[in-house]
Formats: sequence, C-alpha cells, structure tokens
Amino acid sequence: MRRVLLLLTSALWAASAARGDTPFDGVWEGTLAVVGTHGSGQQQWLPEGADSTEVRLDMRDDRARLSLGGRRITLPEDFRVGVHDAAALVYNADVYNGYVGTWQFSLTKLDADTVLVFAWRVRNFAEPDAASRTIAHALRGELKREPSRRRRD
Amino acid sequence: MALSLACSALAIVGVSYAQLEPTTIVHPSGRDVDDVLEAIQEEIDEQLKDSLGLPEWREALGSLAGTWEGTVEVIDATDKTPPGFWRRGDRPELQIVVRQSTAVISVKADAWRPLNGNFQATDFTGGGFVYTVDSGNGWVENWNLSLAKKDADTLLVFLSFVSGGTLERLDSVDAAFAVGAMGELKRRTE
Repeated sequence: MRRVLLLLTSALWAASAARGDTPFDGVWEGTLAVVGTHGSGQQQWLPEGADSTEVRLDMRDDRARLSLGGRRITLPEDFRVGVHDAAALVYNADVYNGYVGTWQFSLTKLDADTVLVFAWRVRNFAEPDAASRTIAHALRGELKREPSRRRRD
Repeated sequence: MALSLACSALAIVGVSYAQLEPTTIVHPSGRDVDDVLEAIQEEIDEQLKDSLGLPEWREALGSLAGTWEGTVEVIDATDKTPPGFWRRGDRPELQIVVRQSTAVISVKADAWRPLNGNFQATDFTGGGFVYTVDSGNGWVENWNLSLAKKDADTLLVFLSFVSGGTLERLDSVDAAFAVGAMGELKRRTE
C-alpha cells in the first residue's frame, strides 16, 4: 500500500513545477455540497441524507490533512498532494479486508485564496450482493484559504 | 585433481561448462529436485498472498486491467461550464483502457477520441484511480476517475473534471468549471 502511494506521488510529482512551498500550501475551509450519491447503507462517511459538509484541507507540500464536519479523517497513510500549476489533486486510499476505499479531491484556483473543488469518496465493500457493494458520494464547492496560514503564491 | 585437469583441457579447446551434459540431481525423497523447488515456490507464493491479506472477494473482482466501455451520466456541472462541454443529464460514451500503471480515456463521437493527458492508473484490486493533471493554452485540466469493480466484468466509474486558468492568468479570467459523472462500463477485452 505504502509503495503504491509512493509510486502515485512520484508520477504526479514528475509534472509538478516545484517542491517546497506550493501555490496550495495553507489551510482551506468551506462547505461543499453533496452533488451525487451512489448506493446507500449504514457504513457511510456522511450522515444519511446530508446535503453538505464542512471541509477543512490543511495542505503542506506533498501532504494534506482532511477534516469533514469538524472530524479529522485519519487513515493509515497521509493524504497526498500533487500540484501542477493552478491545479492540484489530493488523494488517499484505505484498503482493508472489508473494503477498498478511495478519496479524490480535484482543485483548481479561482484566485490566490479560493479554489473550486470536486471530490469523490468511493468505497467498495466485501458485499456478496453486487447491487449494494459500492457506496459513493460527490462533493462540489469552493474553499477559502485562511489568511494567516497562507505561505506563498 | 583429474576433474580440474579435464576442465582445463576443455577450456583450452574452447568448450565451456555450459556445453557439458547437465547432471540430474535427485532429492533425498526420490523426487526430481525441480519438482521439489516448484512445490516450495508455490507454498511460498501462497503464504505471501496470505500475508499480504488479499481477500478472496477482491481476488474475484480482479484488477482494472483491460478495455472498458459504457455510458456515464453527467450528474453535476457548474454554471460556467462552456458551451459544447458536458451538461447535466448528458450521457457520453466512455472507453477506458488500463495497461499496468497507465490508461487511455476516450470519448465516443463519430469514433473513439482519446482525451489529452498522460493518464496514470493505480490499481488496488477491486478499486483504484485513474487521473491526470495537465495544462496548455492558459488552461489547467484535472481529470480524476475513481473506479470500483462491481464484478469481474463490470466497472463503476465516478468521474470529475475540473478546469481553470493557469496561475499567470488567474486575475484575468473567470472561467473555472467542474463536471461530475458516473456510470457503469463493461469489459471488452482483457
């Protein structure tokens, strides 16, 4: 798992303009709307019927921390960040015996301190019934950077 | 001593050890050593697979490798999505070809038209990513596809496309947009 994420990071970094401070370093916060769902069940990362969630992304170089609704998402590996010009991808995977899960946040800058975000959270469970195996949510909206946490643009 | 002399003589006339008749080694059990080694390797592979914890259900779903085709439905698009691009409710046909750590994504028009970008693929067996982040002509483009295997021959696709201006023209353009789509693709080839 660690090796796969490292390879993923390496591939993204090949396209990254610079290391060190990136245009995305800082703490980004806002409310993202739930714009799509697939499947349902009790093992969801959003409450049933939620139409939005507060998102906080703390990005530093090639790593990020994610909080949803004030709750930190803790996974075996840190969230990884790939930056290319005014675009960034924040991603992670949680792979266990019971499910394979992926997180993907696509970011593009609207201005120095605002990003447009589209995110997918997908989990594929060890569920014998294929029709209910997969649960996915799409989030979309804007995040603002905390001025005090901005480092460089 | 005699063997050493014989080998030296063979070397002088240009005969290598490799050209000598192979010796058959027999395991104390009486079985051919190659068979014994093969059995040991199979046992190691099995133990390694168990230690890696790849459950049967993921093995059954299999990898992302292959050619996948089907229709996705656009479930969301921002207001500034430019004319001619996907709109909410559109149902574009998609083809995904995954080969090891790379992928080619094509959209059906009159024929399959590959999207720009060097798509990378990460396969966790049962699910994974395909993505590219690229720029050109003052635009950045961010394609991301989260993939989940529904069964061995069916792939669920959760797609996002986010695009905007490059850093140098952020202040002069106001045209960023995002599109999301999802759908089910069927395997066409291994």
